[in-house]
Amino acid sequence: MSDVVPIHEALERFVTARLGPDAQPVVSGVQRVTTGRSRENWLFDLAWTDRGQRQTEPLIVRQDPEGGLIDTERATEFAVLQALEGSNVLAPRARWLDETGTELSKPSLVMSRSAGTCEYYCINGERPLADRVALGKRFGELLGSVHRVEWDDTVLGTLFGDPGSGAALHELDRWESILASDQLEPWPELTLAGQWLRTHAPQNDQTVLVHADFKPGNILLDENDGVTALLDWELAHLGDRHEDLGWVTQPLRRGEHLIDEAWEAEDLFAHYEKATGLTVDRDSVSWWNVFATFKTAVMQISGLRAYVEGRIDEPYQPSGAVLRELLGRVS
Amino acid sequence: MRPTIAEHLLGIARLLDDVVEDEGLSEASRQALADAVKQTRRLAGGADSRHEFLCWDNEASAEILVTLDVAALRTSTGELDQLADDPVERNVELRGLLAAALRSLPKDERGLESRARIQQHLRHRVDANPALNKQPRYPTEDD
Repeated sequence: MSDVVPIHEALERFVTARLGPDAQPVVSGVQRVTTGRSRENWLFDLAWTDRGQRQTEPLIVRQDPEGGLIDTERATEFAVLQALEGSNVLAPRARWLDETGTELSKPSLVMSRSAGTCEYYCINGERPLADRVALGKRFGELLGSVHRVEWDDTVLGTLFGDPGSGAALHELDRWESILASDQLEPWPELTLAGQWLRTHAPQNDQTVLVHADFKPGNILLDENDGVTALLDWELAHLGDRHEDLGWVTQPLRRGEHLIDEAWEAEDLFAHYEKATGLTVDRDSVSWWNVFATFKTAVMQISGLRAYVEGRIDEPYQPSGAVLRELLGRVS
Repeated sequence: MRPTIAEHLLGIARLLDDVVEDEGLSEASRQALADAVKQTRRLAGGADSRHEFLCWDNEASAEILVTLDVAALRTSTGELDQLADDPVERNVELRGLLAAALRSLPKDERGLESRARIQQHLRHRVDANPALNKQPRYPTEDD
């Protein structure tokens, strides 16, 4: 691919500036891992000399897209990954940041590349039922490990601020603000949903680190179905643990997380409670289910703007399933 | 007038189908072209019924706005006359008025009734929208 050469050269300059020329860094195997304009991820291997020993490390560069469904900051993701080092959460290790994009052409985050692959529908794929239920349990424990992060000992408190008991309204404000800035035309469906959400918002009883896009598609599994890393921390923030639980159990994403009659939402909640010692308020989860659908619709509306402005290739719009689910829940 | 817009778009999709099969294409180009064909077919699916849908939605939205249970928030027929004639632009304006009405409705019984009427129409609109359904369904008297 013609754009490999410039990024290869830029990466060599970038890592040399960080490690110093005496480390004799060599970049190899540069490869773009996704197509289209909505994601910019590059894989590469780095070799360098440290105290006379030649070292190698597989790395990945995540670059800000020209236009994604939502605008997020690479610097925020970098800070989250740094804060997670030393925690029990399996996450990539942050290596370097080009915050302004002056060295790698776009704001970029360089992080360790964990082994394994992501499977969006592993929970309802071809594995035996017992293995799929075991995966469901493992994912519940992984989510619990995120919520058990002692964030007040890290930079996360300063980075995000503690929304306290008003976490639900805090997130609603945030996504209504994104809607207001990105919508190209009125969406009375979302006005209606936003009003319902505001009227029924639950109180948060304990602030935790929220991943905010927890799904098998962001979890790397090794050949034994062990989790090697939880990826994509760009939406992470401090908030209510029920936000992630509501995202995971929202009806429209059921196929990614739950198994009919074998691994239902109640099974997940019970396992999560046992693994974490945290309780699950079912009414709160129900509100966050609706919020998850609202957020999905806003992301699609942001994607629509990005498409119209020529920044992505997929013509997003709130789907019939999303609008039906939303309008059916906000009575 | 033939070919209709949908027929024309389907013709373009057929042309591109042949190009997708070209073995000289790179995988990235083949994928991009396949996406373009998919989008063209999706567009064709709703092209001919779009005008009918917009006219139906505009009429139903206007009816709600002029008969809101909260009289002070009703749109007058004079205000409706000021809206664009073009059904696409008119639709955007009417949906803006519905959103504005939702924001202004009181939380009393009449406000809730008006909100429920708007909600019901929006649900029907999702079912009838040819951009969202292969087989759009308009509400019947039973609905």
